[in-house]
Amino acid sequence: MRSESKSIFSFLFVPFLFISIFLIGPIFFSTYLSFCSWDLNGPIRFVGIENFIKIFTISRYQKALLNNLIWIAGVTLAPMFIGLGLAYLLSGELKGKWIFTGLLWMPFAIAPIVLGYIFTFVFDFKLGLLNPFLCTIGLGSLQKSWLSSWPLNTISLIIASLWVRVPFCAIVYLAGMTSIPREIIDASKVDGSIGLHRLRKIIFPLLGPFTMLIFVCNVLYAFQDNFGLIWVMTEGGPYRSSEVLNIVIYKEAFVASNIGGASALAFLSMVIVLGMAIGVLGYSKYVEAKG
Amino acid sequence: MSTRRKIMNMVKKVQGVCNSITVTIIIAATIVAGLSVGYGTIPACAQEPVTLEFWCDKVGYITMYEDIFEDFTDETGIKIVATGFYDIEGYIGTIKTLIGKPEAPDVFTWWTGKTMEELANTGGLMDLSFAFDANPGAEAVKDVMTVEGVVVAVPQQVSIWAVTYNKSVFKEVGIEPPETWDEFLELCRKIKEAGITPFGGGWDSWQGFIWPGELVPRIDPDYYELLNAGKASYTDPQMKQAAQIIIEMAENGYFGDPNYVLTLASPTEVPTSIRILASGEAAMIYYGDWISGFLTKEGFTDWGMFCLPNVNPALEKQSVISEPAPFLANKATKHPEEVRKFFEWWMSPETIMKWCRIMNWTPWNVNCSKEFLPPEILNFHKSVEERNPRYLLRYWEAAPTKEFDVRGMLISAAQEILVHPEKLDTLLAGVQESNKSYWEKYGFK
Repeated sequence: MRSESKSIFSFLFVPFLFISIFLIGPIFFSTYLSFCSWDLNGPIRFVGIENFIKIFTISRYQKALLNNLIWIAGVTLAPMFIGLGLAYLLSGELKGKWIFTGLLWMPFAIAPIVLGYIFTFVFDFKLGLLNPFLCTIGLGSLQKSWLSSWPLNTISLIIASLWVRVPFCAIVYLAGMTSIPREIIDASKVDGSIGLHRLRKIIFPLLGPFTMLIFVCNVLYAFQDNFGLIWVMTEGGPYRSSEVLNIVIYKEAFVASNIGGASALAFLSMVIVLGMAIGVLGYSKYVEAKG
Repeated sequence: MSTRRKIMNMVKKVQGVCNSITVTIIIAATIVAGLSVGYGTIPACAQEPVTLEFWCDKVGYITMYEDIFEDFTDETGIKIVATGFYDIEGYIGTIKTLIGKPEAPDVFTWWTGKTMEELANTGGLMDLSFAFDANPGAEAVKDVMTVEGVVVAVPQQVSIWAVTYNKSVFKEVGIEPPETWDEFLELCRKIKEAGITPFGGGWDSWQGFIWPGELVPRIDPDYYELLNAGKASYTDPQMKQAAQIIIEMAENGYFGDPNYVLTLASPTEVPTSIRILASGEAAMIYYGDWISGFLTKEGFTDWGMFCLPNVNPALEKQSVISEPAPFLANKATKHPEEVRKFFEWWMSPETIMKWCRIMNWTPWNVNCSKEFLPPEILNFHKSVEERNPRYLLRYWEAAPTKEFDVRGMLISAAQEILVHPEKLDTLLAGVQESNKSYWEKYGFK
């Protein structure tokens, strides 16, 4: 056993070293920089909580945070429920469902930047497809400038991101549904539970852990992975109205050379995401213990 | 424990240790190999001839750069690989992160003014005074390429900003290039009445600075210079007047639909603006006279240029915005001798002539002839000289940046007033707050 432990330790040592050097170390350094002022070339100057005070006093940062909250609302709830519905349909007896399941994976084959370009040509006011389509179906009054003003531009960006988020939720829920014991489903059928009732009362509660996973992944997406889509579609504009924290962090760090400010925003972003993940985990454990 | 079992246990222990050591060696070897390839420690026999890396933010010029650089390769055997960046903010961020390191490009385009000072202060730029010393005749532009006594740049273009107009549209509407501000507004009104958008070109991305940067110097050029020296405020009446003019022009539809011009799908690149001009959809576009190169490339010949008149008729001199665009060199280049050869070649009158012929640009060396320039450019320059010009550095170069990003804030404010004019005072106050913070930290000059 002792030699086994040594063996395990020696195998784990190198990856742990990697993670320490390339992940934990930079996190600590970035946290330190969030209390400093640095432009990548001059000396690093300790300024205390000055950068954090600016986060709560500069309207640009507050606007970005507000946009992030809108993103969280947009990419957590809607994709979850649409994905659940799709997964429920695909979990049943459906001819050719392998085709539909395969189609669910297609959005992941498209890079976020390509997706952004595609949706720019959907939402564009002059050249886009959406406005003419609305005209064609008699909803011409709903034509809008989808990308040129807030909050419509943020909502349009969220709608574009649903192209990937909905399949992701559907695939995770589908995996969850296949793990539900067959006996439970059969028993619910015997008890007369069908369709939406079975989904709400039997299946959804059993998918609790998967729902938590989806929630955390979608929150992470709202804070990190939407950068490419937003950059290509609006660059955070016009007049910075569609900026989210990761766009502001990029501009502060690499365009304005404000490493301290960017690190403070990154720290805040990390605290929010960690807080939400821990909160969700805690709630999940509480529900488990109660149940 | 039996002997056999003892031996088996020993073998297992050694095996476990051996496995660990093997895995560690494989991982370490992979890292070393990767770093070696990345940092160019490949064997000499596998190395290619010297190739210089050239980066630029002007994607539309790439083919022209490649054409002219072929001459350098033919003369010296040194290859140049040109890479264009579509996204200006990404380009700025990349250069600022890499400058002074071997990973930065050997030669790259940049901007003069405070943007160049910021880069020069990193200590990562090569001294290029040798290029001027080797090629007399360009002394007039040396000052603007110098930061704190060190020549850190050479020109690739020296231009002034102009309104480029579609001659057929002007003829159709029955108008001539204006001499006064009132004539200019009347011209815009007539064009709009004829169902044509007066100005093509977008407002999104970097372009938001164009109109504030052109109007303020034409209202009060002294204020403009004081503003960029930190001695005036963005809330002063002159800036407000410029903003009000923009709001009125936008409300009259002179810039096109804000729902379109405020998106990335609108012309953020010059060739698209030219196509809108050439099609007659717009009557005018506003860029530097360097646009003549693009006009030639797009095959549009029915154009003219005029200088936007002063807003304030009491000004003695015509305010004219100049844009000297430079090449810079990375001090940490792996090929300093080759880079030196490049700049000596670039600044030679022969190369300047050839480059300016390709681009229809004005040569910046007095030993170069200007006779090849299209008559429209020659007429435009002549008309500018006749108006007793006062040259002022373009706002993009002159404005404060760094972490306060005053320039970015003004661009953002100029875009927002197109759709939210009621926010004018708040927006200008926000820009001034950043401006004040910048000058408090970095001092006045």
